[in-house]
Amino acid sequence: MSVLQHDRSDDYVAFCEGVRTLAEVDLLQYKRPDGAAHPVVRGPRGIRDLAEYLQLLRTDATSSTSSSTGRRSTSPSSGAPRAVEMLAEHILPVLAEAGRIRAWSAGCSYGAEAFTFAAVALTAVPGTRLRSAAPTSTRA
Amino acid sequence: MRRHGGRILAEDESTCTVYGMPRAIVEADLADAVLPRPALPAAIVDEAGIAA
Repeated sequence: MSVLQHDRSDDYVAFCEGVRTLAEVDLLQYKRPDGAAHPVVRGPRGIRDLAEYLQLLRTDATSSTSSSTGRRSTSPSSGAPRAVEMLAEHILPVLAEAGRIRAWSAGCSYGAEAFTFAAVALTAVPGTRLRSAAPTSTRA
Repeated sequence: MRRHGGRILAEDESTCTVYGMPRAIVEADLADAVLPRPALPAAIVDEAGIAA
């Protein structure tokens, strides 16, 4: 992996919009306030900038679409229930009845998954009391 | 996780929004089970030793 150049804000926004078109994942949530440096994006070796990386992702998506599975690996399955709903309706209430739930979010960066998990627990399980643990480095 | 006795369930590619992290687990041969999303809640509850 190599760090990709994206000195201009427009380049980063265009890359995020391209990824959103391909995968319905909004990387602009990682966009920092005006004037601050954008997040570092790492790409495969040989790819120099975000435009090249986006083109590679588009090529991958096209070839995957035409594969025997007939489904893009980056596309959400239309029939699959949303993960958050499953967590709220079928997992947390059942686990909570059995006692304390301990959750670990691996490599959660600024905490999106951990905070989402906590918010879902507060909503789905009445009487939830949250306790946070100190972040733990898994890098030996 | 493995070293500490944890079991690892990975979501099957067929229901993934982005098959990135699950793929890494599967390709590293670390998944105890690879399941489509609708099967995951029962599997998680089962792993916790709770009768669904």
